[in-house]
Amino acid sequence: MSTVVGREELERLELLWAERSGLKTFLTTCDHKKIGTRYLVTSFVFFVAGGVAALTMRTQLATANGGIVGPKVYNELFSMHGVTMIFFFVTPMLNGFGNYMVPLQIGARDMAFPRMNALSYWIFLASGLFMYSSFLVGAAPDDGWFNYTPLAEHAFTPGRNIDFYNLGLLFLTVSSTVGATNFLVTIFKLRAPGMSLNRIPLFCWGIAAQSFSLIFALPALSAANIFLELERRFGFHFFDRANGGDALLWQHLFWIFGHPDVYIIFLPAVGIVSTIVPVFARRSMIAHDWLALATMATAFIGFGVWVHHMFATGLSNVTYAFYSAASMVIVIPSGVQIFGWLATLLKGRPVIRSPLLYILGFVVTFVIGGVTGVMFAAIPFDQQVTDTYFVVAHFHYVLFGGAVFPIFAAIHYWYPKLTGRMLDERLATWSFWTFFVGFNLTFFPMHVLGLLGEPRRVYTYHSGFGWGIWNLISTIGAFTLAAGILGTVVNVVRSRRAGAVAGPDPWGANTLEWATSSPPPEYNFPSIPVVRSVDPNWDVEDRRDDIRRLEHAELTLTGGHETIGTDWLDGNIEEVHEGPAESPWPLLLALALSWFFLAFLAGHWVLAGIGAALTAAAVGGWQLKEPGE
Amino acid sequence: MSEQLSVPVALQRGRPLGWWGMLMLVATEAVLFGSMIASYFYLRFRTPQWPPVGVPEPKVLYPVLLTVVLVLSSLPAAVASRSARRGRPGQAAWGLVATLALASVYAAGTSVLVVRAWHHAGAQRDAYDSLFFTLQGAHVAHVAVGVLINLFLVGKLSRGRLTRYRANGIWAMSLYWHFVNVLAVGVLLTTISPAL
Repeated sequence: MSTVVGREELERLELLWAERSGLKTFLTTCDHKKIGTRYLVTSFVFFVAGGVAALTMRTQLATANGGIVGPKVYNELFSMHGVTMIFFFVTPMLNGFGNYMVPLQIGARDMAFPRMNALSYWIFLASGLFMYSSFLVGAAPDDGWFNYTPLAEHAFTPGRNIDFYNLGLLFLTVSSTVGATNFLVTIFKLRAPGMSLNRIPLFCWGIAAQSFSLIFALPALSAANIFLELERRFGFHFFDRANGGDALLWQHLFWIFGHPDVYIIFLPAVGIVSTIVPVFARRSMIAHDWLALATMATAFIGFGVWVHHMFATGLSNVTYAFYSAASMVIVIPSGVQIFGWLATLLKGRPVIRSPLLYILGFVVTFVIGGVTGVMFAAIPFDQQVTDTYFVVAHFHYVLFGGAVFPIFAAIHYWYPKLTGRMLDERLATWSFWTFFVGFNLTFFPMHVLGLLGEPRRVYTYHSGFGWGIWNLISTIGAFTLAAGILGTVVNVVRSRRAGAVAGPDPWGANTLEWATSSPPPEYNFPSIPVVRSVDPNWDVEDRRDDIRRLEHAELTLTGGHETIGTDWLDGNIEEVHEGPAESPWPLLLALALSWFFLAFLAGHWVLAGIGAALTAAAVGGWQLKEPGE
Repeated sequence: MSEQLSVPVALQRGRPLGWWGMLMLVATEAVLFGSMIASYFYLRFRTPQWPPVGVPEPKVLYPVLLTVVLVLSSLPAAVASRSARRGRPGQAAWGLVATLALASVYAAGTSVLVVRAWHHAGAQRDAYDSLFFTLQGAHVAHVAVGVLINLFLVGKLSRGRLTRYRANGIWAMSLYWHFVNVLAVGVLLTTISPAL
């Protein structure tokens, strides 16, 4: 900075925020950028684990009567593949981007609750390890990711498999709830001055919609898991008909959570698409407000369609008609978004770079998945193909197309911000095409297999059905897809050192994360930016004002770990919030909870009681010191 | 840059972040209880007789009285929150103690009722019993958590110091407390509904 005042302010910020490197800081940091990066790396490791399960299954199914794995292992593989991809990869991966980018995009210095942010990461990691430790004792969850009763009841699955599922998900729910709370309060209370509701970046809307859905959907899953665990361990009755229970109760509770969960996965991914499209179309997003509304509308409507997962369970026709209609309504907000992106691309001058390639790949695959989705809303068709590979094809087009393509776009788009380096564009392009071809080669033949009648979740098939060739193509596709992913991994690792230096804003982007250096300093912004439009980083004059403000020591907040609190509607300044710095309590609390869940799993009630007491003690310890003390 | 953007530090115009965080927790817990209560009625309407043959109807008088006592505790909780915000630690502490006293009466009384009922039948007989005990247990657990938070805050206040951080904590705690009391009414109406 040119002036003395500005330089002094920067030094003061540096002193306040800089964290020493070392093990202690590693365990106690609450910096949202470090936590975000950890989320990304950890969930990517789970992605690889789930991918290895998938490749094993595809190898088994490559030919008729395959002999790689038996039915027991196959059941564990597809169950853990689903559980991993949904709970331990896609959602936390998107939360990783959220953790890193949301405070930057809204011009804040950290999340609303930095320690809770660390807590949600540690619990996510612990619950993931908890779930995967089931493999060590040879009792991984094996009743599918939706874990239907009566199969999941003690009488039919007596091992610990389902207890791992119930407890692991209850454990993870703590993390997701804490994270969702944090995101909502951050997005609605910590925005930069002037960032009124209609100027919130669309990625933040996606995260907000996801968090909202998590808050209201997860408890249904928790209730189901609590019921099932009480039934399995203590002989309660909720799902068995003989004692007044009902197996369908599980399905209702699960899908009341499960369908909103589709949007929990999809909406932040949509936010990524809406972030990248205007940058590479080189123009402001068309119908920005409509896209924000469509995001929230999808989240709302998503709570009213769960029965369409249960069209083959024999409920009344009136029920079916209602949910069929509701499911078709979802097409409207989805259509608004698709046309918003297309219009922006058509009216702009698209620059084709790797992030946009993945976005275009997303549009193609997601539209195919959407079309088969509308087919499912027609009940006779649904009943015809239920439990066949047609369903597998559909939800991979929706979830892989709808979430993993945007996640890869986000990796390519935000990599320069995280590392300060560019990815190799040539390798990225090659990886993309391998990825795209591999994806379609894997999942398109599954439509055919489904129509030919191949059931899902069966570990092998007879040679006489004529399914062999399609399965073989699908397996070849799976390995092609894996090669594409490997290309990206190589690129990410290599560019860390070899990549071209990115500078603060290599894409000429419109949102605030690009208004600071790459990677950003611990305090994110030297002076909190003041926003006057929906594309703040394209307002050159405003960004110059930020620098001028720093030189006058305005909005630099050098009294501690401070950030600005604004009112949720207009983004007017309300007050300065002081947040905590490093803290050991999030990790200790996560460890205490791990103790509790492990003891509970082992059925050792005394140890579980001690774990609960330790958890309470950790919550108390957390509260002993006040931020800034 | 003409407009001055210095920040009035002493002024607090919005509700504290902790309050908003508590609101989210309360919302998600409300859905948890909503799911359980919905399960209760879902199973009830798929069962020809509720409670099943041979199971007595739930008791009404004592649970209603205890719930009235608990709901009354919202008053001192509100007083505590208000006095804390106005910087009166003594008054806030007394509000919390009164809340604690009323909640303890409820927790003790309900525990006695639940344990008695458990000795009589247990939860393993039927879905009806399972739901009854799960709802009661979950609610008593929520009251117990409130009691623990309350005790912690009383301990902090007993040193006579009240910072804005603690005042915000009491504010958020009183929100949780009102919520637990609303839940109590929901759980009560559900569990005694077969006898009404």
